[in-house]
Amino acid sequence: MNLNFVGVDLYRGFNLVTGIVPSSTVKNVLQGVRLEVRDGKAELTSTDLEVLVRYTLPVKDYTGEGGIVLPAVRVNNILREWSGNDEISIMVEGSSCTIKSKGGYFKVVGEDFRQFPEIHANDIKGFVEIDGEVFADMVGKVAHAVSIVRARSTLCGIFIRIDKDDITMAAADGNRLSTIKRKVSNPDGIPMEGIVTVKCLTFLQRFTSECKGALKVGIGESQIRFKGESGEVISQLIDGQYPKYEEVIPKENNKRVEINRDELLSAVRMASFMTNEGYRVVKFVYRKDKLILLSKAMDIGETELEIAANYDGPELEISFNPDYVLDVLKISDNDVVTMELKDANDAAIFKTGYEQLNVIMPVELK
Amino acid sequence: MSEKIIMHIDMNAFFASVEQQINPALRGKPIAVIGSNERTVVTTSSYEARAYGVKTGMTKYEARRLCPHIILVPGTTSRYTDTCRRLVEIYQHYTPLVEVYSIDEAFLDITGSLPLFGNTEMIAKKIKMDIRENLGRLTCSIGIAPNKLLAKLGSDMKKPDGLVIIRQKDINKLMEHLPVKELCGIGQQIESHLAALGIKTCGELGRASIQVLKNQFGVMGERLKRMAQGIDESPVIPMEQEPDAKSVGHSMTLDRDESDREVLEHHILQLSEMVGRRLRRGGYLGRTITLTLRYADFSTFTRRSTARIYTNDSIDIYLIAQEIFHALRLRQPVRLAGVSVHNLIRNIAQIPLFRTDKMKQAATRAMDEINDRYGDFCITWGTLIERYHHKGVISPSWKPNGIKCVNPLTNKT
Repeated sequence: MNLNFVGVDLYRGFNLVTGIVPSSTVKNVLQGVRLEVRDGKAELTSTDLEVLVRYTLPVKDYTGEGGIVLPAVRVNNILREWSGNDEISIMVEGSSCTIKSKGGYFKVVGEDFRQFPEIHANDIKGFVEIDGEVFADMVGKVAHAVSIVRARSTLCGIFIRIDKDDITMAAADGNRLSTIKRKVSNPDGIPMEGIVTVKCLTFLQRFTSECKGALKVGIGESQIRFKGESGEVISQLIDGQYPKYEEVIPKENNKRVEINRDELLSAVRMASFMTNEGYRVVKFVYRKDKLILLSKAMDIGETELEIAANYDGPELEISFNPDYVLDVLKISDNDVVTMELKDANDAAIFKTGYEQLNVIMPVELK
Repeated sequence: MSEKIIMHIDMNAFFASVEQQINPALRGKPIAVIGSNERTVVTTSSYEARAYGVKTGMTKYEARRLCPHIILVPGTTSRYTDTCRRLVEIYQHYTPLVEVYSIDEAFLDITGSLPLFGNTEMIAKKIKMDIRENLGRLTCSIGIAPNKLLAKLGSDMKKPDGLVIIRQKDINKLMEHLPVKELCGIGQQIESHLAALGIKTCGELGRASIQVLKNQFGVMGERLKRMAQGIDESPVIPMEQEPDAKSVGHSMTLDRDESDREVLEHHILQLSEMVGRRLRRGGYLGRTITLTLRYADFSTFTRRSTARIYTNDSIDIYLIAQEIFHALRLRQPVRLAGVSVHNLIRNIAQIPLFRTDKMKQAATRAMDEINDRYGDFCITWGTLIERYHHKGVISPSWKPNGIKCVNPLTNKT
């Protein structure tokens, strides 16, 4: 089996699928990338047994069919160096592979491609369609709120729900929630939902930057499948029931504040300088037309900062972990952020863009 | 700087006296307070038992051999902690500067109290009287001196029910022939090192060459010399000014050497609950969880794991300790298990998002309150019901606010 590629095409494809290769594993074959030529297509596959990615390479020409599992990191390093070359040739004979380009060759020992594990997505009944970039942007808007506590496995992923022509993503870590809603093409009106690992979705952000255009999304009982023009990603879902996140979105927050996003971002960041790991608290004091931020930490110091705010309610004090506030401000699409508040110990809403809603729980004021 | 007046109050045979006060049938009899498990040791004995040679740390079999009619009383932690709290309340009538040194010892800085209450002796007698009136037949030994070191020395000089006042002018005479081991902070090891240098009394230590002491003990050398001269500048630190804790831990010697992993996991859950509760009571969260197992041959295994978030939830602590335990192959049966939490921060009271978490927090708070009021493990996890009796023995370093820097293996069982 002989194949010829444009250097940059081969490197980009190989580099993409290497992203899912586990750094350590009990099965050696998983630290490789499968290259297979079948039915006139050259395809790269990698998996960590939870997520599988398949990518079809644009090939200049080839002879013969077959495959090999190549050591991912080593071959990726070689291809990176040769990515500027017009042509890279790959010749496979049994478990040996010769990679040749201008200036020399590498003979690399591979493994039998038939030993490479396969994940089949059998339980997915249908697909909806959304622009890949829009989907990736949605992931970026909520991923910061995903829990990192393994004991709460259902919160360690992003919840995706497709209902008619709406797709909603939600992520929460027990102290905050971020949600975003967009439109999908769902002509059959298939409802779907599932909790998807962060690893899969952050990989998908890379995948959609390589496979531009429409993305087909299908969610089954235990798997999710994404199909792009030149590849697909299949992932196991996180088992379990996602908490009823809609219930924690307050309906009666009657104090509305509008603040310039950049000014608020800068002020909260500065206020966080006077906090430490053991005491990450910034007090927000809302007064007519202004917001005052206060923070104080023993052995560090204190600060008081004032910025303009569009607020016309009674004075309100509420404290937050500044990291939570910074996270939502960083992903805001709007120049002006809207906060909806009720009281010192009640959930606060931060509206940061079209159909983007963040709920942050305060720190109790004693 | 004007001379300070420090009082050290040491409750006599504290656990045993509390038991004798609560149960009149035990009064005047040799009793020993013990832990609840089979292999427990004597934590305190009454003066009647001490007359037979029964001492703290003896096994109950040794105690019985010395005093065949000794009455062994399993300790009840809540009685002692409650009495300690009430004692502190009495002390605080006389000065706000009360340092709870352990469950049965406290230092009081009464320098500023003299104009209010007369002289030092009067304050000591009033405190003894208040204890008798409020808590019954509990007695204490009181030492009064210009500093904590000498005040503690004074209270040790006359027991039970003593009152010793050491004045500045008496210090040199007192220290001259005092054996070095009488000073708080000089243990057997330091004593034997000093003996090797030909130093047996505080007088000799006070005159010893500072260079020789520094060579032998490093920075501690200078402190030893000053101690022997009766100098101690450490202040009385009231509870609210104590430095933050560095770790919280509990350990327990098991009823028997245990190989059954399920049983060991139950012990680890129990220890996690004890540690979690103390963290919550002290207002702390922790991140690094350490599991300690001591094998039958006394070799000790310790491993720690750092979580990504801070917690004081007993189950979170248990899951991490359990994860360490699962990765471990037991080499021998286990005689002691310990769980501790390090890397502590103050709990900032983050309000949870989900109702279930709020309910869980409320349930934990209710459980803690019930256990505070009616005794440890009154209400606990279903898995632990069968072993509710194995409560362990209160740490001597227990304090009313529930937290003190604790080495996980220092707790007596």
